[in-house]
Amino acid sequence: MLTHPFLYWIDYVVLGVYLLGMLAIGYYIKLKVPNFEEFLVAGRSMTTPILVCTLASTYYGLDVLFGTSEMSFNNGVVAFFGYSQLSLAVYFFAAFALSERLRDAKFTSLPEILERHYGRAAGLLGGCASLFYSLPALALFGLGRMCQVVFGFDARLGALITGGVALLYTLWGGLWAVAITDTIQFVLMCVTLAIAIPLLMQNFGGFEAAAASIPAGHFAWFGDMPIWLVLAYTATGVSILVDPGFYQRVFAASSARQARNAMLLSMLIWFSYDWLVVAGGMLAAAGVDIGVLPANLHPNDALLTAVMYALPAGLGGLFLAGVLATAMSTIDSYSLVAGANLSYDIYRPLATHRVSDSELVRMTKLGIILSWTLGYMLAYVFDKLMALWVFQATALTSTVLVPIFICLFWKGKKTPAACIVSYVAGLISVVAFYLVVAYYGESNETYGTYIWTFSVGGAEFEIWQEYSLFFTFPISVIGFLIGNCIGENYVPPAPEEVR
Amino acid sequence: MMNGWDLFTWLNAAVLAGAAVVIFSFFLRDARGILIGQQSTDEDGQIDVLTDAEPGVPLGVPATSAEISDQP
Repeated sequence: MLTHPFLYWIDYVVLGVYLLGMLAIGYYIKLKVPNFEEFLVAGRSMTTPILVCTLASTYYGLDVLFGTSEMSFNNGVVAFFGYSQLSLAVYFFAAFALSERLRDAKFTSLPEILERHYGRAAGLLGGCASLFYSLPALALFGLGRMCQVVFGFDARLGALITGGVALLYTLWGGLWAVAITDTIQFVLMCVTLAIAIPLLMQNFGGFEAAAASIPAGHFAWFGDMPIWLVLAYTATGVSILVDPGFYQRVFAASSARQARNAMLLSMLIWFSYDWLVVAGGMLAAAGVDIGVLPANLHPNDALLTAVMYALPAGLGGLFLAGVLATAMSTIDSYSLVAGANLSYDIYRPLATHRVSDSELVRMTKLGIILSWTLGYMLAYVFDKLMALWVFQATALTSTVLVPIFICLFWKGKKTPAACIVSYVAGLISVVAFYLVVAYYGESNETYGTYIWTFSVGGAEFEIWQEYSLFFTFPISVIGFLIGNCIGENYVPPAPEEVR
Repeated sequence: MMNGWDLFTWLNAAVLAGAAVVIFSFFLRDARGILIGQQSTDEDGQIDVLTDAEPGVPLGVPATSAEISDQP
């Protein structure tokens, strides 16, 4: 386990300056955010550079930094070719197919798309799904664990302090504060990783030395991973198609073209970032094998331990600030999204009076605090946080992907009942799937998931929890088709009736 | 000769660090407009920072009353 001796006083200074800097930015922005649109979608005036920074840093959190490196530590380059990169095809589709449709329609939130096309009930359901997905439990847990491993803090206290900084500046400045702090965090997380991994490579003799000590299978592009699992990992990329954080950034763009360009540039960043994380995990495995790193090193801590070993004083603190940045940029963005779900997508439609702009800002801030607190509580209630996150993503995809894509891309009949039946069918199927696989399956510690193995006619089959979308997506489509036989297209109320 | 994986790693490190620095420099170019809220939009939807910006205008508010020009 990594402990204090790897850190020098200068590292603590760097970390302190980073945290204070984030607070200072949030406080400065606080004085310049006058209304709800400014608070939530930054006045729809973001340009490509700031969009790249906030997209790239928000979508890549500690799950990528520690989860992907853990996978490459255990399995090698398959973590890159089989796990990370196939999802880029989905991002490419999002860049070209979604940017223009979303930006030009001037939506404010993802559930509002459902509300405009299917009515208030659909918007409320979408708000609940988006809220559940956006609770920052995994990122807060990761922050706490990092504080525990690196500084020897109590994990809950560490998450409270560092996550609290992200909460404060988000409350102060909304999306502007989130995006500007994301920009600093983006530079930190990219530059520190780009310095750390080549240094690590030099320390451990590069991949040639690594090849002599780690299994040859670590260099097979797709390893021995089942094809269905490769497809399932690719399908995890589908979540970006309904990711409320991604949608919020498209709504905040000054034009559809800027949103599309930002997405394409982010893909370049993610590609390089992914490889460096995978390389770090493999080099850490080599470091263990040659005896430089502890033999009992936990795969989840491999990247952090190896990098801290390789970096000189000062740069270690900078890297840790980059790791903090990776988590904080996720916490701030999703807390803001969840806050807006509570105020704009749930409170506003249910309110019996016309909700003023200042009331929306106030309610969003309250929502941010509530969602952060819920995320913090969840982080220390569940044992398997990664499984919770996968469930959050699958639940959102299974409930809103079909209705949203049909209203964005299909001009024909689409009734409110279709949306609601599709949503409910998707939700029930995802919950049932998880319960059945968890009940009949066995926990697999290597992959951190449940696998249900059974035989039919002498042939053995495996169903992983990751396969859920293969079952829930068709059910959601069928639900939509059935519901579409009921009623007519939704007719929005006249402007004076809209609250 | 350098191992292929080493080369790939060096290349990605250069791309990541280089892209981060270049994007940040473009952000700094826009930063004044962002911080004082004075921006204008050209026909392609590119936001340009005005040089005669007045302080105190809220963030993100366009300098002119014209809406963003790439609306349908």
